[in-house]
Amino acid sequence: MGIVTGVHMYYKNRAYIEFPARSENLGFARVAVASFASQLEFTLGELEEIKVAVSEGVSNAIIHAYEEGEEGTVSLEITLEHTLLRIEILDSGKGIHDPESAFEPSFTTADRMGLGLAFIDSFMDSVSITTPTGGGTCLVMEKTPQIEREKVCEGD
Amino acid sequence: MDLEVKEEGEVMILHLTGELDLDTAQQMKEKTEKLWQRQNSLKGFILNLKGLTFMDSAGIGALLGRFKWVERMGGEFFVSNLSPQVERLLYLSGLLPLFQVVDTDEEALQRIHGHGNEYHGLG
Repeated sequence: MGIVTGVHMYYKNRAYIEFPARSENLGFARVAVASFASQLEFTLGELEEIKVAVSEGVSNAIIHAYEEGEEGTVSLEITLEHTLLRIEILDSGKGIHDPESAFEPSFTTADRMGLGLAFIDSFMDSVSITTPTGGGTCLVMEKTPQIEREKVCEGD
Repeated sequence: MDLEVKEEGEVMILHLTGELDLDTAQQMKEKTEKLWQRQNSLKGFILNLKGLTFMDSAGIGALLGRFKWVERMGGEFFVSNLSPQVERLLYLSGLLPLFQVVDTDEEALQRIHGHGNEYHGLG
């Protein structure tokens, strides 16, 4: 729903999804986020980038958050505010000891190349990792459609 | 994810369709490893990605694994029909210079055999 504030339309919407931390849910997570994000003026190329970022974030939660045999959950909170897409990927697993180190190029784990966060970093405007006090890991990433950024640059 | 395989002598041609992520990359690894068990020598390996609709870093990892195996076997590794998105992921991951990128399978076959060999496509 749009709320008119002054001359600008102020848009806000929110979705919340929770599912078991299993790889067969990756396709669903990607499509759900891209579908919701398409309420903003993202190009098809940008929606593809968002899909990769979601896939990487959710894959990290599936692989790293929980011990073998432990069935945890992954939740996605997607917020659209004005022209900004914000995606929070939250698990309630063991957490990352040092969230900052995850962004160092050398950060790899047993069977992964450490590329996932590099892709998120390339495809989203911002990304951060926090360890909430209640446990687990929260990956937050944001993106504004290129066309909206251009409008700002043009002084619209 | 689905794999269609064609073996032309010492050349293996794989057509990959669908999505390559954490869920399906493992299936792709298992399927290709099963094929390799009966392969004694390999001149070339062509991975056609025309039908690939999505790939992330797990898919990149699977591609790198296939590349390493082909290299160990002394074969040439080709990827054909790359979409701009897949090409960008390969570029960002630094793998693009490792792979021989071709537009079509025929082009790869010509490079493996030299000109003059006809290729009649899959199936």
